[in-house]
Amino acid sequence: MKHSTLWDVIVVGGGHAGVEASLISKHLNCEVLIVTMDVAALGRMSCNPAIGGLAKGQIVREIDVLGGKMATFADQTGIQFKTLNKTKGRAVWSPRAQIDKRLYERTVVREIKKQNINLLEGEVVSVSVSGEKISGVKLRSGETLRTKSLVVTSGTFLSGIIHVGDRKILAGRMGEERAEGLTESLVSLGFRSGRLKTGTPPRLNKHSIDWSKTQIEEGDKYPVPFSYFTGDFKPKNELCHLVNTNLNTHEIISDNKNKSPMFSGDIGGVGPRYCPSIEDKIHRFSQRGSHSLFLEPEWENSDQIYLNGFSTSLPEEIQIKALREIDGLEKVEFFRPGYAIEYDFFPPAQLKNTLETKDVSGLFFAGQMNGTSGYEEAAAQGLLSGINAASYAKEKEPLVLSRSSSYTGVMIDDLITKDTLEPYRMFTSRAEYRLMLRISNTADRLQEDSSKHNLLPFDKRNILLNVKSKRTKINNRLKTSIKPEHISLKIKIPQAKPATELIKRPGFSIKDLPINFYEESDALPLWLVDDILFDVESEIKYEGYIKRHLKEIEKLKKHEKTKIPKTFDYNSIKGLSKEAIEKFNLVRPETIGQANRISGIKPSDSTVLIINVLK
Amino acid sequence: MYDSHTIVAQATPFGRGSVSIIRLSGEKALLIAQSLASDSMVLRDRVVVLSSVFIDSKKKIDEALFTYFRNPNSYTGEDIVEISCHGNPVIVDSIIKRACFLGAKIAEPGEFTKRAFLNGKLDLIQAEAVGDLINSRSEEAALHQNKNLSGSVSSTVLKIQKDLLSILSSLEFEFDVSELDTHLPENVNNYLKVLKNSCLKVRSILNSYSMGLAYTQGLRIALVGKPNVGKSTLMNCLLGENRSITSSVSGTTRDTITSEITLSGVPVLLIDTAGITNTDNPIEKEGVLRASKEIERADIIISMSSPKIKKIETKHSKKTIHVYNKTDSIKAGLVKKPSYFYISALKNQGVDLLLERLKLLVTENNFSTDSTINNLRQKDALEKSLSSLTSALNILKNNKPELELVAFEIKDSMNFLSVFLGKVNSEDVLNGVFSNFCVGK
Ligand SMILES: Cc1cc2nc3c(=O)[nH]c(=O)nc-3n(C[C@H](O)[C@H](O)[C@H](O)COP(=O)(O)OP(=O)(O)OC[C@H]3O[C@@H](n4cnc5c(N)ncnc54)[C@H](O)[C@@H]3O)c2cc1C
Ligand SMILES: Nc1nc2c(ncn2[C@@H]2O[C@H](COP(=O)(O)OP(=O)(O)OP(=O)(O)O)[C@@H](O)[C@H]2O)c(=O)[nH]1
Ligand SMILES: [Mg+2]
Repeated sequence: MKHSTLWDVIVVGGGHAGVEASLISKHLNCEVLIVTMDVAALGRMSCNPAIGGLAKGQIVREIDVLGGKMATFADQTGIQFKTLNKTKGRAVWSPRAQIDKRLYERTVVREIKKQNINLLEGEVVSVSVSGEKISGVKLRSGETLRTKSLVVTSGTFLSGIIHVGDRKILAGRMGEERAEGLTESLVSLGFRSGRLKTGTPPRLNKHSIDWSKTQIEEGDKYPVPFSYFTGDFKPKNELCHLVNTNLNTHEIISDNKNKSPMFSGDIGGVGPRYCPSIEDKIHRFSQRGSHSLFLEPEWENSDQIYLNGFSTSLPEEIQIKALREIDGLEKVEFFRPGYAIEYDFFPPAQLKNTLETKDVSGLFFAGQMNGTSGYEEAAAQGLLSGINAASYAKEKEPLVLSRSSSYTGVMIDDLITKDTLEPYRMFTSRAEYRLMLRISNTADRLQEDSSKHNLLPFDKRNILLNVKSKRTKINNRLKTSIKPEHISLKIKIPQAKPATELIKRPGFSIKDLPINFYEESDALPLWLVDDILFDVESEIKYEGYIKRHLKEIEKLKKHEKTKIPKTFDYNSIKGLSKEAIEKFNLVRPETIGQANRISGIKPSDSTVLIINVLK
Repeated sequence: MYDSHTIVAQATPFGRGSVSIIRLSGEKALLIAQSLASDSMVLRDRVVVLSSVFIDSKKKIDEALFTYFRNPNSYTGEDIVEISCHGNPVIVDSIIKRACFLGAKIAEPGEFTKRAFLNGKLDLIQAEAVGDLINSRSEEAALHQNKNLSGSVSSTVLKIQKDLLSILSSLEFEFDVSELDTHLPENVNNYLKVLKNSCLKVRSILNSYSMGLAYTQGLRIALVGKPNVGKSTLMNCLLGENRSITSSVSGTTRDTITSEITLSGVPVLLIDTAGITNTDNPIEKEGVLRASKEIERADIIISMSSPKIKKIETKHSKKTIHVYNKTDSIKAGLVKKPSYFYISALKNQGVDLLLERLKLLVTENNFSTDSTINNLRQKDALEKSLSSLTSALNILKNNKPELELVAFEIKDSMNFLSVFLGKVNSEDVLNGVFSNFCVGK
């Protein structure tokens, strides 16, 4: 590797964000280099051994259509698959898989090697700019590298501090060095940084658990993969188990909560509300007598069990003592205690909707450093930043996803317009057009963007085209009428009716129609055909609702893309409230649409802004 | 955005009264007030000062009270000076003209309120209520509006929103946090309860809508019947009976007369129509046409008959009061129908009973709620909100309710309530989720 090389894209970090960023920009014909502190930790899952889940499963499939790899990796390394929320409606269905973490890392490394992506082990300590453009990075070794664009995905590593009770360890992750200097370098360029924290539960020794006292959790009988390109799917189906905390556990934790740095005030960073530590849960929901804890294998036949639901930073001996009160865990032993980590993040309002920074062109931020939490959130950002870094290097149009197209679009828009005070995790309720963002119509939603930006290789693009034509065919057939004598099951109809009319009835499924309406021989795997049928059915059943969504989208379009000049002076505008002026100055929204979504902006402020921008 | 020029207008209703208030608002309000008054006048924030008013450098036109409200602690959020002068239109006019000469502009209708709104002094609902307040005439109506101003509608709606938010949070918890795939019947029952309750409340505010309308525009009461039945006589009688005549305007046509009276504080328009006949005379025909139109527009109809003159037959579903006139001309043997009023308009007999009935009718629309709303935008938002709530209820009653659709309808309904209040909110839902629930896994 010649160090005078001018790279198209340098990616700092080899976590889930960095992996997607580098793979996609390579696919887009860029000269790519990953610089990461530990080459052996590529694609490492720092926390739970699972991918997908509520709202996150949808993101994984979006990544798939947009040329990312997480879906495929998960399908190849999953040991139990389950679709959540099946009884709650069609749009909130979310797939989740338990993952063999070791296999996952190996699979990632194999792919990086296969794609001939250049790897360099090292620590980036500063970035260099020329004018307002990124020009390169400097490593701790003193080496400098030149690049057209830079994607930083530093995860939890920047000035990371691990807390276990009152023990403090300077690290980026347990057992890995932290990164120093990069924060200061970015701050000296004018970026704002902040402090966040997150925690992880203890890892238990499988043989110290009395499994006969646990409840069993099985995977789905008919599992569905994440990726459209997985083909026929017969994954492993390992069991998971569940135990429940009791009042004794709670008492031990409450009595010792001042030994948790969260409560003692040792940790300044803000932690997530939705993944609270066990001490937090017991403190805040004191009326609950019990919490469920999930025992998840970290890999196939793993001796190491991840205790989902028991994230904590209490001293190790307290963790053990509290857990031993639980049925099944009376003799539990740890491989590793739970811990909390504090790290630097960069409030993402400093980014454009392409994930490029507003002030330094060619510089992109992605993943946990943007204040998010979760593998899927990190991977989706990594993917988008990789696409846009490549577009930047190659002087092509960037890819911006709208809120009505995808969870990824919702996430990025939220990040750049909302004040991030705590780690951001995806929820279906963040999507105002939720009924349109179904796992089962992901291809439909993103195919156009994907092919316009050349994100998929030829064979995969073809599979999506097959999916599309299958949909169209079925939809056309459903428009034809069906005669009373052809319909034997379930309902009687007095005269011929279009099949769509029947599907709209509650409880009537597309498969209640004569078989020729939906079945034919084709090349698609069975699960995918079912997925398509289900979605066609959903679209018909939800037609009225989808129309209402569309109407809303149309209504908002008017000012959504109206650009606000970069130098717009909010201070001089009469009628804007003081808070609004402050927030607009902080976020510097690119469009009226973004301005309207900044939290705390009143309608009167947005009216005043519109009039002033338009005048 | 608005022009920052200083505006001026009369703040009290037009016409003669003992005192008129002229209001100046804007950057130059203080300067203009100074120039209007004698040089020695010193204005201090919220201090009332007596001074002469000059309409040119020498000509004194009045003595007036000046009050200064320093920005931002004023109604509009700008500098305001209020001048209370004698309620003589000539004086008022001259002062306003002089203020304009000194650099003010005549305010557009509602401009003070608009500025107040843009400066964050009022929320939308308050702004609208103020607009209506300015227009409403009677004391009782003003009372009613004040209730609105102090936000009693807002607080009822906020309460509904809070209830809806709590069940929405519970639903979102199901979608986003709970990984258990079970329907909890006690949850569904609670959803049903809250939804039903919210429907009732929204409906009750909606019902009060017709009342709110009454206060600002006036109910229309039409006197109809065949020629010579005594409509005009009764009209005069009613006007004479009631001392609070506010104006007497002849209708746009030669044959429809409209007068405004106040019944129990509600402004009412009394409409005298042309007698309805089968006629070939084109002028009379036109009159008959107008009369039929009035029947259509009216809220209440007084249908008249008299000895030898039968009532007219019309096809409408309006509230109708049947009045049999000219009872004085009958000697004996009248068979009375129970729902009819028997009067002599000429001799003013029985008219008081009729009046009582009318008063009852115009206030009857006042349903249990103390909330009143005053404009179509708000009514529309409420109706849409109600319709979403009803849909949510219907979905929930299904065997396997699609909870995400229930959530959709509730959100929709809450959005319309927000439109009603002129506000929007977004992070509320998530905050609700996390303040109310343990996050389980
Ligand atoms: C203790 C802990 C607990 C967590 N708990 C949860 C949880 O409960 N729920 C949840 O959803 N998610 C949790 N996560 C988060 C999840 O692991 C991350 O969101 C996700 O892995 C972030 O991916 P990333 O690519 O942004 O960063 P990471 O996976 O952190 O990767 C960062 C990469 O950048 C490299 N790097 C950093 N700085 C430099 C530098 N200066 N020079 C060179 N290389 C650098 C590192 O070597 C590493 O390869 C937790 C993470 C940790 C560490
Ligand atoms: N005896 C008697 N005469 C009445 C009474 N009311 C009205 N009249 C007389 O009836 C005649 C018609 O009265 P109006 O009030 O002009 O009748 P109208 O219905 O308005 O007639 P049009 O305007 O032509 O439709 C007049 O001569 C009135 O004096 C009443 O109560 N008793
Ligand atoms: Mg008459």
